[in-house]
Amino acid sequence: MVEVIDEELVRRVQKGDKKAFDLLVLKYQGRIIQLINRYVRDAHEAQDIAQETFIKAYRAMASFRGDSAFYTWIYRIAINTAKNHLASRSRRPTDDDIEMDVAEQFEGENSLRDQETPEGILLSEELGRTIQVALDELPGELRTAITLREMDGLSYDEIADVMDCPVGTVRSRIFRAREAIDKKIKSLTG
Amino acid sequence: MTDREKDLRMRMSMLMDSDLDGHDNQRLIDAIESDAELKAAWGHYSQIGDVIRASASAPMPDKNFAANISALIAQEPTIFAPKNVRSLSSKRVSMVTIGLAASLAMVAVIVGKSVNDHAEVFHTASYAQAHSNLVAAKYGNQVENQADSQFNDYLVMHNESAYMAGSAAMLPYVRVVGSGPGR
Repeated sequence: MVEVIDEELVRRVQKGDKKAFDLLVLKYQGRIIQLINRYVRDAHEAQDIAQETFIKAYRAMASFRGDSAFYTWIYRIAINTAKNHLASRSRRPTDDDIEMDVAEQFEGENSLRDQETPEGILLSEELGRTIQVALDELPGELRTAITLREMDGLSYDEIADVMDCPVGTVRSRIFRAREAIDKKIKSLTG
Repeated sequence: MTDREKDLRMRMSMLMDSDLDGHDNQRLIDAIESDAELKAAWGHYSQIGDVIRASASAPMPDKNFAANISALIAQEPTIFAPKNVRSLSSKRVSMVTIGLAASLAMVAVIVGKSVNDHAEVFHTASYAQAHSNLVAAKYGNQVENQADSQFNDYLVMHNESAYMAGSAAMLPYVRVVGSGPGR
């Protein structure tokens, strides 16, 4: 399915709208981190590389021509960044060897890691569990509709065929499923 | 939640799945960008999809991950890319097509001219030969006949190669006039 919304957001970023890039980050952060985690088995490192990936992507947005889908393009950047990270890790000096001026450069890179407190990690794990539990608690029709959409990537028309109901009903079921889960997320994050 | 908010969120859900008419997209994206609650819901809707697709052990992004990137992006220079890169590339294709067409047209003109010139050469050669015979019959002079023949060879060669320099071929009467005795 063509991600029309991605094309629109990319167009906006290319016209100078930085907020549109926020929406792309929100949409793809989870998928990018999960992808990077296949290469780097450390949650902290995965988040750092994901951050680098998004920054690289933003800087390269002007040259993104739309020949491939945005997610294909950013997946490629993520994989290359992860591979480069792995390749350079053996060459990286240990913390003890870092001199002061170099340490200042590293400070910026590590700023995100400093914010990843154990509580924060716990919260993100809890978030995943909350969503999973909320999903399990959904009425069967809502769970089927959103699973067909998110897991199998079916369009609304295809879901309507599978579930033998009007497209309008599919829209409503998917929306209600998201809203029900969102309510649980909000109660967790406050 | 008001009916308007509910309508906005339902349309955002459709937008996320590319099920919304393109005309409505712009205003809705504006609303999501400027409304903190809608933006948060956009993030949550995405996370729901991530959890459904992910294995149980897959890591979730840190709570502040997107906000941190947003802060870093704010420090980056703003991008102003060409308005429509796709149309640029299609323009490039058009230019190449026009260039090829022009080249083909040029080749056709040169080849056509070359063929015409060669046709002219045959005509000129026979004309020069006839003229040479006429001069020989009239004067019977070996030396003059030889000189006339050399001059005619020059004219034929010149006519053959004239098109390569871009100049027009000579008209037959010029050669007749030019190769006459006492001129």
